[in-house]
Amino acid sequence: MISYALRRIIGAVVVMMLVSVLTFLLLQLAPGDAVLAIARARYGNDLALSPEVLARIMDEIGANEPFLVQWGRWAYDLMRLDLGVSLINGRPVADILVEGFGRTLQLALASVAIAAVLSIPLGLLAGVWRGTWFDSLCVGIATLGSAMPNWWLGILLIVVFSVNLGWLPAFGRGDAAHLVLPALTLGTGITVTTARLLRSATIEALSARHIAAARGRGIGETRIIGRHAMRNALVPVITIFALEIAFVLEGAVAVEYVFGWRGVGLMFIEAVDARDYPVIQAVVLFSAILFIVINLVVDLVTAWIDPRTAAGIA
Amino acid sequence: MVTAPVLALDGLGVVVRTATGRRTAILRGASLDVAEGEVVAIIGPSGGGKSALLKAILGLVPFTEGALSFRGNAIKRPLDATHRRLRATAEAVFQNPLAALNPYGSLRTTIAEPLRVQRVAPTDRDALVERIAERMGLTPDLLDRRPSAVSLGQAQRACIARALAPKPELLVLDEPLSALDALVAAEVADLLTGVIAETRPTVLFVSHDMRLVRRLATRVAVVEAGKIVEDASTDRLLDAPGSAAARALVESDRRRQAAFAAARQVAGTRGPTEAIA
Repeated sequence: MISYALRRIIGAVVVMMLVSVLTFLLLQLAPGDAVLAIARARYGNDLALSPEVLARIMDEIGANEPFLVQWGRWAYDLMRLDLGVSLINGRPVADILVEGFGRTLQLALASVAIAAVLSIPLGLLAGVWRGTWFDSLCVGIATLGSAMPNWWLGILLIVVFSVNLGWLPAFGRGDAAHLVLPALTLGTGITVTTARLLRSATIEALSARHIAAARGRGIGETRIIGRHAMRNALVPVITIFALEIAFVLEGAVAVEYVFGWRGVGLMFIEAVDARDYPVIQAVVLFSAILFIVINLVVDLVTAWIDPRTAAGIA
Repeated sequence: MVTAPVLALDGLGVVVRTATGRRTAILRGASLDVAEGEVVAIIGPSGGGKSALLKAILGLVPFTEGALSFRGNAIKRPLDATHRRLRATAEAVFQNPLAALNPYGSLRTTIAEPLRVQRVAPTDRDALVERIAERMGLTPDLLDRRPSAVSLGQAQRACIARALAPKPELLVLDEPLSALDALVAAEVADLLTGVIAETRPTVLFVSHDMRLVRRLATRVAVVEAGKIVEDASTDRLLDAPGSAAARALVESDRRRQAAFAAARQVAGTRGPTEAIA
């Protein structure tokens, strides 16, 4: 188990280093003139063509220097956790990232909490009561929910709760009331995926022969579900649930956009739009690292629950 | 005063619907008493209804005719209150230990489970688990492993330990040795025989192994084509089988023993074959 963990951690670090190199390369090779884009973003279209302005911007982002020098400087700064400054407003990228991530984290925690509270009992009970009206209802709702894009659900919720009923604010950040609709929108998305998966995992876990054996030994149904089926059913669900968390943490772009929630996702779109290279690089790198770390944690947790994973025999 | 048998079967029958929708009786009119402390073996050809009998008793398939009774209390319908009480106080060991064990539980957790259900205090529980595990030859190191990390024989010994730990009123064994290879089966048979002699539980077991039947059982019932065709003391039944099914089983076992004896003579050794035969 320990050697497996070490191997996985070393592997993750190597992947992160590769990702940092790729991030830099991809943006250098991306189409579109960065200098022009920055000039337009800063000064508007009229001044953008002035040669002095363009030359100044080129100097500023080091676009005149050889490719390797640009890369070397970027990597050196990265190691000092200096992510540079935004080309648009001159703020340190690290500050922008922390701010955006803080907002996204708030949203992610709220939606994951909603999803956990809803999906675990729903998926589990639908699996236990397979074939009943409750199961059909859950499967119906889950199918509908999976087919519905989450930004559309967001708009629907705004129409109902903000526009018609006037109970909750439609967008922006502020008190807890602002969090309700976006968290509900994202939470529903995670809930339907997780609940469906947990339902089938529960059905599978309950059909295992050791469950029949436990019934034959007179173990009560509550204990069978709580002790034997639930835990076994949760193992495959952990992976998917964690990946859902990763997606939300990387900024659920559409939902942040609909609700005007300036988290990582919305920031990223704005940065791409303005060709704000340092911000784009930082967000991409950060997202990749987050994804790798979450995957690593999931694999280690799974290996801890089911050592056969680590031994490679499951 | 005659005490009621621990378990009584009165014309028990199981009718199932096959995949094609046909109704088939897999057990018909089975009557059998198991008294306190008795060890009753159920033998018979494969597909004859031995497992159906055990499953109906454990409520794993619903019986469709006749009745069961547990300590004089009638079980009229499958899984009624009395039937559930029977299940709660009975323990079972199945054919394949890996199918019977929760793959995510350590052997220690597994063996402790029935004691947990009985609400035995944690300190007593731990001591009890250690004691029964040691009796079944499971070292503390093995107890912390999961079923996938122990041998089949060790897993089956854990199943037996789990079944005996709560001192069940009825112990049901469904071919406990047939998934094990011959040497391991011999070893588990020894442990099982020893522990049953010490704790004297009431046992109902299915086995194809006449040697185990002779060692363990006080009485033998022969099940063939869904019916109990013979029910007699072990010595009488094995020495003078009355039914054709019993005669066939005893005869084939005798031939097997003779073959092992011959093999032993040829090999000139009393090594592993001793354990097998």
